[in-house]
Amino acid sequence: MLSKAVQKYCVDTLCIFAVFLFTTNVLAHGGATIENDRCVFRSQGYSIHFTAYQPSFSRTKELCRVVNSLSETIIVLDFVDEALRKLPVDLILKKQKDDQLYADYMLVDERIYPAGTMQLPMKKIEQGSYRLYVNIQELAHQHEVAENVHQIAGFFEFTVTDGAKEKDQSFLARSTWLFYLLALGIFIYLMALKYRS
Amino acid sequence: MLNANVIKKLVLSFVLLTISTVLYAHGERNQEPFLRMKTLHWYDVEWSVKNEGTLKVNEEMTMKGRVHFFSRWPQVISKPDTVFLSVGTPGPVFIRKFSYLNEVPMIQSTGVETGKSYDFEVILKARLPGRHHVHPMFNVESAGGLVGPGIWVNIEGNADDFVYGVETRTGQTIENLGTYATANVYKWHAIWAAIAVLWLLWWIRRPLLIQRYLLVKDGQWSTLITLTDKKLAATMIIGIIGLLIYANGVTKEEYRYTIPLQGGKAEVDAVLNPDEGKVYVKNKKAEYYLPGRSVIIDAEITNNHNLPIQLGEFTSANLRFINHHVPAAVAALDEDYPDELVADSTLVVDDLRPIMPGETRRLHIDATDAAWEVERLSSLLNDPDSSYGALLFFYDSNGKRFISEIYGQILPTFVD
Repeated sequence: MLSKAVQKYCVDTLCIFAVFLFTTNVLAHGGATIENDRCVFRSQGYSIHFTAYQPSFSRTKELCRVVNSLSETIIVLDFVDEALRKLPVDLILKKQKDDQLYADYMLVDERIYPAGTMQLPMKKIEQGSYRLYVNIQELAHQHEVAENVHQIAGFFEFTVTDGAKEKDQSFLARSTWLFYLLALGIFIYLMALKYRS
Repeated sequence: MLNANVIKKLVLSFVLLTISTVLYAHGERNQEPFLRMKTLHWYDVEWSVKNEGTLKVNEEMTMKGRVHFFSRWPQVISKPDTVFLSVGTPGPVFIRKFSYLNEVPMIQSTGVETGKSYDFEVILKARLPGRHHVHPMFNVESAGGLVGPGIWVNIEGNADDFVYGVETRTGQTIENLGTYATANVYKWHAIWAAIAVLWLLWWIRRPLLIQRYLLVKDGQWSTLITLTDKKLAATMIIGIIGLLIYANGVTKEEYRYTIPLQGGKAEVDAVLNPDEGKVYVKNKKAEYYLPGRSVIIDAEITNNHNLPIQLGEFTSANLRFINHHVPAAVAALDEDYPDELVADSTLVVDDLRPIMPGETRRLHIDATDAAWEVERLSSLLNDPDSSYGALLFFYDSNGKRFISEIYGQILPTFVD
């Protein structure tokens, strides 16, 4: 039976660990409102939300900066700003080449999206770094965004990795978190021993 | 020298202070979808001020409309047996002058029935300058606040100019409730604070922790409290009781006619619905087409009315989808209604022909808008209870409206 001091020490340490564990949930994608979502980017002063789905790989999981496989991918853009529903929008998806420059990969012609959402399905996608540019054709003298916002064309950068290769990784490579947990457990045990002695 | 316990506590406190992030709350968007879709449905909501309109400090505005308490109330929250009509604002930027539910004053809480509708009215007075989002809201006991649609209101002026005068039932005029009898409040707070501080000083003026610990360790704890301490304590008890009796007497003399704080609940009956059962709706299948942000419903509609009807509107979680092919539905949309709560594209119904009296027809309904994602409603797919609730508004050939509930399980799909 551990002494009271050792018990108290273990409880305190577990509390610190719990703070790290549970506090990160607050930072999760779903916990933030869309305005503060890390998957939102701005183009010409308008806010747009980026989501990628890979139905056959991760089903309904919403992907953002990292897309985990080369399977069928559906990119969905949601217009946070109401004004975008009335403006023609075109897309350019660029892929990073070997020389670090980005080249056109896919183009979507200019269109108006009154429902405020648009999707870009891709049967196959290659591994690499991408930038999605959204060009908004504004009408003359018509801008509903605050005047101090820079009206530059924006892009959203995301990376596609080969999930199949990650699945081929050994259990040890995929489960590094287990080792951190084990290390913490050993640390607590050793500190408890020290207090007991 | 700091010991290990103190160091641990400091580290823990530091971690809590630095790691804990600011919670980006925007009210209703952070509520679970099932709460927003299967509890309250607000409709015919009107504000006496336009969206993004301006009020001066001390000016009034009215919010009114109808609220429907959904019959399939979520099992995970308490039934609306005790609810309170309030407003959702960022703090006391308005004061609530009056609130009514079916013309019954809602000074206290009340109980409502699920599956029924109630007319609400709230009158507010502008207090603090700024740009504020204002919603009607119901607080449900043990469930929290459930907000309705909101508008932005700009309040201009000086907060110091705010005045809230009332006339009491005895004819006394109070010029400003905000400053009424505050001198009295300060006085009595000061008296009690002084007593508390004196009592505290009496004890901490002596050596405190280490010497007392040593005395207790030596078994001399009885010397910690002296005879003088006991005499002082007894004197203070008598003095405080005497002061309480005196204060009570002074207060009763000053304010002769008072009513106790009311602990009961107001009684209110629901709005009668003579058209109940005229249009029967049954959900056959519901899906959420994720990439398209579409809620797609197959529903069976039975028209028990004596005139043909058409589906004019689908509303859920304060979002409205209007069928642009039904003139009565389009006309029912107030042009000042907040734009972000009304889908720009039409509610798609596969069969636009009116449903004839006595006919049962299956309709394919498609409500598409980015609002499902922007309002965080698509996260209902991650709920253990992945179901939806909504109201359908039907219109007959005379423009009369019939409201029916629809609810059921909803599943995600990637197939259009």
